[in-house]
Amino acid sequence: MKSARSALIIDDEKQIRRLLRLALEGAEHHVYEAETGETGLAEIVHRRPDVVLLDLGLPDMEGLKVLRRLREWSDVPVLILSVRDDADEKVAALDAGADDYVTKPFDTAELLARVRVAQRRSLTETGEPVFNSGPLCVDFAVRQVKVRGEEIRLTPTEYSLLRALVQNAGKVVTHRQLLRTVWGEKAESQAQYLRVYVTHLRKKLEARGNVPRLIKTEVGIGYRLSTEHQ
Amino acid sequence: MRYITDVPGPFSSRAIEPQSSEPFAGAKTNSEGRVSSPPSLAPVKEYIMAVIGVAILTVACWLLTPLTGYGAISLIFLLGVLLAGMVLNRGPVLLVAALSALSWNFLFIPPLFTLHIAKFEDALTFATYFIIAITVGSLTAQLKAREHLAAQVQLAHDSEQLRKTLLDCVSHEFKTPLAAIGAASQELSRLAPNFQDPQMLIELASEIRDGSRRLNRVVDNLLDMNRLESGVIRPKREWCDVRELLQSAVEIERESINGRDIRLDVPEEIPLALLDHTLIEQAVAKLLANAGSHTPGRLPIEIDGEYRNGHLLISISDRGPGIPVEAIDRLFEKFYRGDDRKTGGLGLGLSIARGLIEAHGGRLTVENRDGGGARFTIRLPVSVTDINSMEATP
Repeated sequence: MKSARSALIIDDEKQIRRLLRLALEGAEHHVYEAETGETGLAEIVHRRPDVVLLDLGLPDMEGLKVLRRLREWSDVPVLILSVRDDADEKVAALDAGADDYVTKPFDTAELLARVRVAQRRSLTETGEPVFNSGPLCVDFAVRQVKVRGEEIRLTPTEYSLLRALVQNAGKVVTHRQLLRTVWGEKAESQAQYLRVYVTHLRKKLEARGNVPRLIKTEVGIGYRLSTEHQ
Repeated sequence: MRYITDVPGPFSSRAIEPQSSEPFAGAKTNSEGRVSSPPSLAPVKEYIMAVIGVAILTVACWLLTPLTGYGAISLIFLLGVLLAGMVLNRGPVLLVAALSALSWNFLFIPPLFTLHIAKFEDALTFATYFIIAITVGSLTAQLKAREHLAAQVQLAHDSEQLRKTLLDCVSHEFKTPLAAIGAASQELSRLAPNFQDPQMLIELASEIRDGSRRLNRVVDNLLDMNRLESGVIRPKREWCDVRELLQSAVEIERESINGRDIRLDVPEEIPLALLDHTLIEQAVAKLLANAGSHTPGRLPIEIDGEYRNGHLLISISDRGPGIPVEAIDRLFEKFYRGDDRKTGGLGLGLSIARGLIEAHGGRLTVENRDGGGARFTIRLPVSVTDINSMEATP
C-alpha cells in the first residue's frame, strides 16, 4: 500500500496546476502534473494516481475525449475542472464517467472536499447498512429514515430517490442518472417527476423556509446530497 | 473623467454600435480618396428632379413675364439655382443652371424660340447669368458637402470620446482590484518571513479574495453583455422550484446584500415553473445587487414571487431613495449609473437583468413605491406543473 495518496492534474494552465498542487500537497497528496491529454493518459498508466483532476479545455484533445479513452480501461476517480456556463458539457462529462466537477474559479476548500468524496468510492464500496451524515440517518436494512432522530415517513418513490442520492452522498448525480435509477430507462425525459419528488422530499427532510442544505440543486445538471454540515 | 455619464450628447446603446463607432463610417470615399457628398437621394432621381424643377420654374416665369419683362426673369431663375444648390448635389445643380440659362434664352430673350440673341446687352446678361448660375451652383454644393463632412467628423469625435470614456471606466474597474491584489500579495510575502500577526495575514488574504471576486464580477458582466448583444442566449428551460430559485439568488448576492433583512414571500402552493433557472436566477441576483448597493444601511429588501394567469411575477422591492424621475427612462441603458456615483461598477447590472429577462420572453419594469423605495418587477410567461397533482404523501 502506498502511504500517501497521489493525484494527477491534467491542465494546460501552469498557474492553475501550481495552485492545485499547493492545495493538494497541503492535503497530503503526492502530486503529478500533465499539460496535455496525451501525456495525461500516459501518466495515468505510469503513475496510477488515486484521483485525476481533468481540465475540459485542453490544447491537444478535448477533456471529454481524454475521459472516454481513460474509462475504457481505468475507473480511477475523475474530477472535472471547467468554466462556468457549460452545464451541458458537465453533464456530458458526468455521463461519460466523471465522478464530479468543480467550476473555475474554484474555492480550494470545496475542491478538496470533492477530491475526498471522489476518492471515497475507490476506498470503500460501501456495504454499510446504515448511512449517517449530519442530521440525516438512513437504515437501508429496515428502510427507515430519520432526521435529527425523528422518523420520517416517505413514499416508496421518495425513498428510492433518497437512496439514490445517499448512495452517491457528496457527489453530484445527474437528472438522467436519477430518473433511470428511480423510474427506469423510459422515464429519462420526464424531468418534472424528478423535480416534483425532490420538492416533496425536501419538504419532509429540510428545515422550512431556508435554502436547501441537504439536497442541493446543481442547476442544469442534477442534485447532490450534501455531506458537509456546519 | 471616469464616469460615462459625463460624456456630452446621447450615449445610448446606439452610439457604440459598430457601424457608427467606425470613424467616418457614413462618409464614403470615392476612388480618388476624396470624401464625396452625402447620398441624400439616388443620383438619377436628383437629375430628374432638376429637370422637373426647371420646367416648373419656366412655366411660372412664362406666366410672370407680362408683368415683369424678360430681364427680371433671369433673377428668378438664379433664385431657383440657389435653392437647388441647397437640396441637390453638384451635378444636378449644374444641370439646373445650364437648363435654366437655355430656357431663359430660348423662351424669353428675343427673338423667341431660338437660341440666337439679337441685342448685345442681352448677350452680355446671358453670359453673366450663365457664369453666376454655374458658380452659385457649385459653391452651394461644396458648402453642403463641407457641412456633411463636419457632421461626420463630429460624430466620429463623439464616438471616439465615448470609447475613451468607456475604456477609462473599464480599466478603472479592472485596475482597482488588481492594485489591491498586487499590493496585498506583496505585503503578504514581505510579512511571511517573520510571521507574527495572523490577523494581518488574514486581512491581506481577504483583500486578495475580495479583489478577485470583484474582477470576476466585472468579467462576468462584460461577457454577459456581450452574449446578450450577440443574441446567442437561448433559454434552456427546466422545471424549477421558484422559491429555491429566489433563495439561491439571495445566496449568490450574500456579499452585496451585506446583512440586510431579506423578506422572501412565495405562496406555499406555487407550482413548478418551466424556465431557465440560471438566466432568471442571474437576473434576480443583479436586481438584488442593485438594491443592495443603492439602499443605505440595513433597510430590508423584499422579494415576492407568485404565479398568476400564465405568468410568473417576481418583484424585488427596497426602501432606498427610489428612482429619480429623470433617470427612470435611462435606468436600463448599459453603462448608465445613477447620480450617486459612490457605488462603482460599470453600470451594466440592470441592463443585463433586463436583457436576460427579455431573452426569456419576459418583461422587467421598475416603479417607485408608495412610502419610498423602488420596486423592480419581472413578468415571465411560463408553463407550470401543479406539485400537488402528483402523488405526495403516503
